[in-house]
Amino acid sequence: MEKFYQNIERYLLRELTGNELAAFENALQSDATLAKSVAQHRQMLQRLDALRLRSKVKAAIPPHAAKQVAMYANRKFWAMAASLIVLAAAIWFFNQPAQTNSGLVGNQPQKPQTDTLTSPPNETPLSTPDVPQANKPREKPLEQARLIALARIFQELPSQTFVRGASQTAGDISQKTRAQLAAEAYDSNNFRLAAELLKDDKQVLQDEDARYIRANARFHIGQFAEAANDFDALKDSFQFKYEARWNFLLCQIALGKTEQAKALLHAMIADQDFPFRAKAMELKGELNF
Amino acid sequence: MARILDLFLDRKTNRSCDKYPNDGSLFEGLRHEEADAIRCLSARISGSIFNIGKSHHLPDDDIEELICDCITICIQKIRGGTYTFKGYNPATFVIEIAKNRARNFRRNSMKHETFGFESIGEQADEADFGSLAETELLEKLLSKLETNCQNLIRLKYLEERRDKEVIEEKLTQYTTVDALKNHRSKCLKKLVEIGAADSRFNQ
Repeated sequence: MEKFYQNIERYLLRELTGNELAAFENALQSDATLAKSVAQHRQMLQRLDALRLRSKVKAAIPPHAAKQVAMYANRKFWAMAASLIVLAAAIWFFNQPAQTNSGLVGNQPQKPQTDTLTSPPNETPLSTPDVPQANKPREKPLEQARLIALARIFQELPSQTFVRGASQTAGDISQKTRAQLAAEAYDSNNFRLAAELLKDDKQVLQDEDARYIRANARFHIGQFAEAANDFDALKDSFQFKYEARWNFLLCQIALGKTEQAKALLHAMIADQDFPFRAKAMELKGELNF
Repeated sequence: MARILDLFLDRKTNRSCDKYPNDGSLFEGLRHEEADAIRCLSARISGSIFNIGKSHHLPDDDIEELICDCITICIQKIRGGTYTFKGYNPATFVIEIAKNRARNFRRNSMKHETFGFESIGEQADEADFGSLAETELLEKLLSKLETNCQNLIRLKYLEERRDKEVIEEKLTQYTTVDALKNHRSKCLKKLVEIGAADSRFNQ
């Protein structure tokens, strides 16, 4: 009988075969003490197996993995991460125009900015569908930014007297024309509104004052190609021909059309009677033409 | 999102899941106790179990142990046939185990209770020997055996060394497999007797 007790492990490990197995199973049927001992051995082997398995699991799992995963799953963590991303994006966004425009813009005397629809006039506006490539600050090379900044510095602005005169009317505000409202918006530095009010060419077809306002408003908001068209239309104007020629030149510079700008600039310098000849010579020095 | 987390977390852990493209293959990997399957399961459940543990005010160390407990129990049940694959993710089963155990952790009781879960919860709630408390208790019992017996049992049952290999590598004083088996059988009997005498072991 003692032999059976020594064979419990072999029985549980299924190492008993043939007569040995049959004899053991017979004894198991008749000996309750043996059966109880077998049950205890079986449980002990299960416990040993559990200990082995747990060690294996412990060895497989990297330490502190749960804490790491939980940290990234935590709402507070993601909220904080999102906040930091937004903050970083905001810093980047607001620094972007300052990087593209050179320090030259700082030289221009500025009115208080009240344009609610545009970026400030000394900044390159954000891209709009009708804006030429000069208005894409992220793709714009540094040289292009410098040219735009120069164009803004040298822009010949409409006189305040002219703008205010164009905006005035004898009646109440409801009777003002779009041209007068645009002049008023321009006077308030709301250049985008001014350009928007006069976006229809019919508004400026017979009204040189309105076209001049629109041209300058477009120049301010970086729509240099459209501004150039307006200035070009005014180059034969009795009242605005010099300013229009000059600002047209600046539009060419802002658009990066240096060859055309060069030719226009030389023509202006060559013209002894051109009222902005001094400015032209100064600009030539800045451009290294 | 998982891919993004891979960048932050231990890539080795997450790459483990590449070997198990579906729940069935992960289940089979666990059945064979593959280390990658264990790591993959751990990566999938750790965050949830950490949050479960925190909601029961468990300290971090206990939560780490809870994760080990739950995976061990899951594999035991797979191998014992009490948990069979029914198409859902093994992680779901392990998380159910964790919920039950977290309650018990807090109550400082290692006895399992039934909380009226559906079949998955009930399956997960059966008795086990893979918990930290049970394994620590067994380690204490083993330490009461003489060194030679401890060595014989560890080689066979914890390190899974084959008897022939133990003899060939002279890891014990025995020179034949029969002598090794006979002595180990006596050692195991002693261990069973020590366990039977310990009231904690029979709870």
